[in-house]
Amino acid sequence: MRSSDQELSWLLENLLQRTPQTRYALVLSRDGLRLSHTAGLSVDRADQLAAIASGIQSLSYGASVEFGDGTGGLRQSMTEFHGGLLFIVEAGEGAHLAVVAGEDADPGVIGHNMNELVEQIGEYLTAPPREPQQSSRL
Amino acid sequence: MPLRSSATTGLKIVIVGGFGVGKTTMVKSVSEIRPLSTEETMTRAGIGVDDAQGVEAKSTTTVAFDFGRISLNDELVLYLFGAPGQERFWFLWDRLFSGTLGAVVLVDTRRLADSWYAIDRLEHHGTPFVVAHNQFGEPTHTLDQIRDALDLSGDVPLVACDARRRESSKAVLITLVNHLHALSSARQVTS
Repeated sequence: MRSSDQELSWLLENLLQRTPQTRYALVLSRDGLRLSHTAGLSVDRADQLAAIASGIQSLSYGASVEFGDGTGGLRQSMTEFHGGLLFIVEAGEGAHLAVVAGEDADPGVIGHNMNELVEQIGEYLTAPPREPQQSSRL
Repeated sequence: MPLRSSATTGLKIVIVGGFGVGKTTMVKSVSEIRPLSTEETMTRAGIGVDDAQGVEAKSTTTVAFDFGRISLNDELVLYLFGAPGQERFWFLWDRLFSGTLGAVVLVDTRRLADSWYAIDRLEHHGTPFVVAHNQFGEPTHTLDQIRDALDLSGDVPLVACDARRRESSKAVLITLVNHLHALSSARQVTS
């Protein structure tokens, strides 16, 4: 693990510590792959959450294009399910930040703290596009 | 194009197949409404995970599903759902398959094994389907060879298409609707 990855994990853990009721935090690429996550989330569940969160963000983008101001801009997606909440915001280029929290969590605080983190370090939370013609067999 | 007031029958159809086979392209080419697309740029995080061998020029991938609509005649309208191809999104398939009357399995002969999972799932769900060979350039295999390679039974229609072309994609969907009609007529005769 590179030192920047360790710093990112630490910042994600820190986000959970200062935000009551939060359980997991994950940075994912827009095509649905995990980039970094907090220790409480197993790798398998991080993979699952990355795929789910990218799908939700992409559908939300579709809602914005169809029913928003036409720019396709997206602030955050929030899902309230039995037993928890899921928040997703755009991070740096090509990446999203997702947080899972308990159902009694305060959505305003979570959204605020997530956006604050993105403002601070969004430029490091990126997943650049693949090079054109780049084969995965390297 | 607004939905015609004469439309009385809506069929939910899914388009499935492996990663990069042309599912999104087919929904886009054939839809009469602005298609919902959930294509995202493929990032470097996917190198080694999303194998683009054979489709190196591919730069985006579907992360939820595609949606489009086409009226085949005054009464019959198809609602098209394009499934996501990669394994990490397969958990979405059950919901997509719910209420589905039929499916199109798109295959690419360069990556034929990618379609086995889709065919297995459809057979497991008991969802009728047709198989469409999306031809990228000059065909290198005959339909009979593809039928053998996929171990398809003789009663599953297999056709060639160019998913980029509206008329070609529409012909695939008409093949599917005719197949569904034939199956339902056969059931009525036997019951």
